[in-house]
Amino acid sequence: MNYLRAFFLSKELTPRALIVTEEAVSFNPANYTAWYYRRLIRNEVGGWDEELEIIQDFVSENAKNYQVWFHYRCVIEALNDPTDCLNFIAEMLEKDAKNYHAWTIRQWALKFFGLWDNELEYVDKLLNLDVRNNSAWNQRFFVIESTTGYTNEVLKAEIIYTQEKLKRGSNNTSAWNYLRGLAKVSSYNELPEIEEFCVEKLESTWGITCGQLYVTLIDIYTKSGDHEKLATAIEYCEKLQSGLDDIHKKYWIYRKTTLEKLIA
Amino acid sequence: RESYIVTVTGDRMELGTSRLTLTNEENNPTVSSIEQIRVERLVHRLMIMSDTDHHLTALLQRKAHAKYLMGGLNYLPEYFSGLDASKSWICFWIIHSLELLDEMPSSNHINRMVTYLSKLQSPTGGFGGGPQQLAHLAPTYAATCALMICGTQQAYDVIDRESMYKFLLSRKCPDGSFTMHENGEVDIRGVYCALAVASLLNILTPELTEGVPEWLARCQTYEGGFGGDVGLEAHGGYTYCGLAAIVILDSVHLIDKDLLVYWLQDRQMRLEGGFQGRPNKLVDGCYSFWQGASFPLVDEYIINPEQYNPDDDSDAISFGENEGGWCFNQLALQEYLYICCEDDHGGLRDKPGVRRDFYHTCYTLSGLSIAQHNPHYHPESKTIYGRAENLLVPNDPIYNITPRNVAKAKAYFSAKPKIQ
Repeated sequence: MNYLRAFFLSKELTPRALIVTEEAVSFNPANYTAWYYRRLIRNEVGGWDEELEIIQDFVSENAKNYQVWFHYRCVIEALNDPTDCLNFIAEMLEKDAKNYHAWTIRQWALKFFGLWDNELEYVDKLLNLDVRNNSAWNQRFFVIESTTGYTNEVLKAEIIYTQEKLKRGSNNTSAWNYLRGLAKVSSYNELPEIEEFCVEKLESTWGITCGQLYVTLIDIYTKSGDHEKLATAIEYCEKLQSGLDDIHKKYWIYRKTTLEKLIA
Repeated sequence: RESYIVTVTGDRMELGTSRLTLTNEENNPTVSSIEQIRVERLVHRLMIMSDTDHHLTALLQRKAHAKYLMGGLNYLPEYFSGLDASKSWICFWIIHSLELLDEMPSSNHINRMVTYLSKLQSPTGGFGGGPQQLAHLAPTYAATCALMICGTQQAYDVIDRESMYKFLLSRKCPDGSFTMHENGEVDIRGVYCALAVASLLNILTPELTEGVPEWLARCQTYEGGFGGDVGLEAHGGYTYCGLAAIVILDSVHLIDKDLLVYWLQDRQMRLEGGFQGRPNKLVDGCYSFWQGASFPLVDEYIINPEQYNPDDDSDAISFGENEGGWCFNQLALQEYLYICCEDDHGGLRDKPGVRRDFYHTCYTLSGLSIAQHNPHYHPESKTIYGRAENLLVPNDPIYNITPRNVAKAKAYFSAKPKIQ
């Protein structure tokens, strides 16, 4: 570490300085000063290809580390070549499908290089593997918003998509957040099929076991402004607070109180 | 405590609340649900093993925690190499935990810490994670707050305000975001760290804050929480940073307030009682603070804002007796911490089966304090799980240091000249 400090202060940008930084990051991959210094040296002496191999190893070994992922991004940027980038990140996501750094760099690469073509398909693949992967749901939103946008056609298709996924497990917060998210981009008025779907599901076992069903109906009815629906929403708040979602009881009391003020 | 029967398939029995039933996988086991149920089984077993009057008898192991923390102040063994660039964080985690426990070390220790922290300051402003390391917004926040907790004049005077301001400004990007260090990554933590420090040191200027609220608002996702950057998944740590920063900038009106509150409270786990960072992920003791501390903020700016206006006479929303005034289950969170997070030899952990560390000790205790203290207008001033002596020193949700130390620091620095 003392060597690194001495070299860093001297601002020497040579191959031997590179060796010192390599030792430093091997000792501590979170040494952001060493990574920063490495980038300065590489800018001077070149060898970004070699750097790519090195950093990929570090990322594989230290997947939860900010610095190695950011350094990986800098290497890709310096090489200006995303050829294997999405594949490499996909490999890392295979080990941990929710790794925040992996998703961060992936979103960066998609935007920077415009690599959108196959991303929705990739998201779909991940959701088939684990429909509860909240990162994949978020990525879905990110991809669509960045490409086609949420046109009417896209919204309708996404509602069907989400409903299909919900049939694999009604108790899936990620899918319900996404469904309500679609209405946020548009509105429940523009997308009446959401309310229809929920009302229909009330008659099924979801009506007994699925708290999120009521959460969604409360959201729909709160935004409707219709007094009868507001009254039903209040009933549903009581249902959630007294059993279906009792850990969040205080929140449903708050929602109920707010709704009661609307009706008063 | 209610009596209960748990079945493995998740059927709810009529005897009590749904709390102690395992999640129902609905015939579709995936990595997420398998992991979640694994943790639920662990937590559930610990809960049913605890005494039925645990909520009255639980005792925070203050002395053990203080001993563990003091050990950290004195000696950091080799295997902490991974924290070699986080020395200011270690100082903060330890000294903040000690201040909450009301076990502040001797002035000797404090002076040594102040001297050590002064070595982390960069000649060009800000603090690095270790001596002669590049200045970085996260260790800058940590060092600044640690110094505020030390609270001596010497501690305050370590900080070079002028160069600090230059450093913070140099991190700012045209779009309103901040990079963590020169040539470093942008993320919302950087904004929070910069603004928290600036606000404590009285160097918060329009030049520094211009465009920032708008960028922060863009980090709110369709789920209601905030991601680390625009487009990224809503996450507890980043949501806290985003919200606290937005509160410092008095810009809560720019975000979807109702959706934020919904997302936040939904992160409290049904069975475990602790918080998760994102939907379909696992409980973790550190979210006791990252998620928990947002509740005083949403109470003031969204749920009960009239209560913070001295001229307003209206009633606050009532959650029932002994439930406390924040919009989450304060007792269930505390229960999780005592039953699942305390290490017998001192220190606290993420969840059962994971080793203790100073980071988790800091953030579990920080969250515990938030959960124990109620809003100033609440009829019950405290909501304490277990023995009355478990009460920690109050904790400021914006800075994560005690209100007393915030006030002292602000008083000191507000007297200093404004930065041009």
